Amino acid sequence: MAFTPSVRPLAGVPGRLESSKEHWARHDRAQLRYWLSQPVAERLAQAERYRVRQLGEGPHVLPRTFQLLPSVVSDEQ
Amino acid sequence: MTERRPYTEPFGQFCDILNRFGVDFVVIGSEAVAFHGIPRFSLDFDVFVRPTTVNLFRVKAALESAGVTGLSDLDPEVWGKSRSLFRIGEPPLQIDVLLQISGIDYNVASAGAVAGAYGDIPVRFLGRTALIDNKKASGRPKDLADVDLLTSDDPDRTA
Repeated sequence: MAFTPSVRPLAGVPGRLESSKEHWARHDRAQLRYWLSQPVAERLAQAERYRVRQLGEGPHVLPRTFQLLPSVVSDEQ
Repeated sequence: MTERRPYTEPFGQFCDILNRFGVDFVVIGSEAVAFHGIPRFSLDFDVFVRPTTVNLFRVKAALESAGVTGLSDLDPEVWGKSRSLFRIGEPPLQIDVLLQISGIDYNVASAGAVAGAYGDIPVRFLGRTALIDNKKASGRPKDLADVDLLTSDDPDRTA
């Protein structure tokens, strides 16, 4: 393999082997931990972009799976 | 409703290096969902690699070239037998290299993969049917939500 990249995009980034069970046990929690570390305004803006991307400006009918998900954020929050 | 997820340069550079080392891989997960018209937000980048020893030697060489650390104990022969996944980094720049995924064998994934690009980098994405089968087999609420959206009849949704 003679190829040497001009940039090393993951220089110093650690990697490790994980079993599927170990990986998925931490996967969503790690993403949630990252999001909770971000400013509230950023999180709300991202949630709004997500809603519009997924569902349009509305009005619309939520797909079955979304209807089953409970609300976790109130207006006061 | 045709907005795509923003391009993340390190992920594109990573794919470029995989290509240059001849790694046999398919992009899966949220990037594949986005490719099929549902650009949901995620903090990682998932690739499914052919779990053969030859291919895993190429993966290891590519990871070394990209600058990833922690590879000294990564033996491709042992890795292939364990079918463990290799996680690089943390959110929001996390890459998962998987040797197996729910419900789909690599040969099936590869046969149905669709040629596309991540940014300007040519890659293959998991095909829509295989992606839906994978999401159904995973069975997590967000995967089932993806299935709902991937199978919706919204005419504005691009395939």
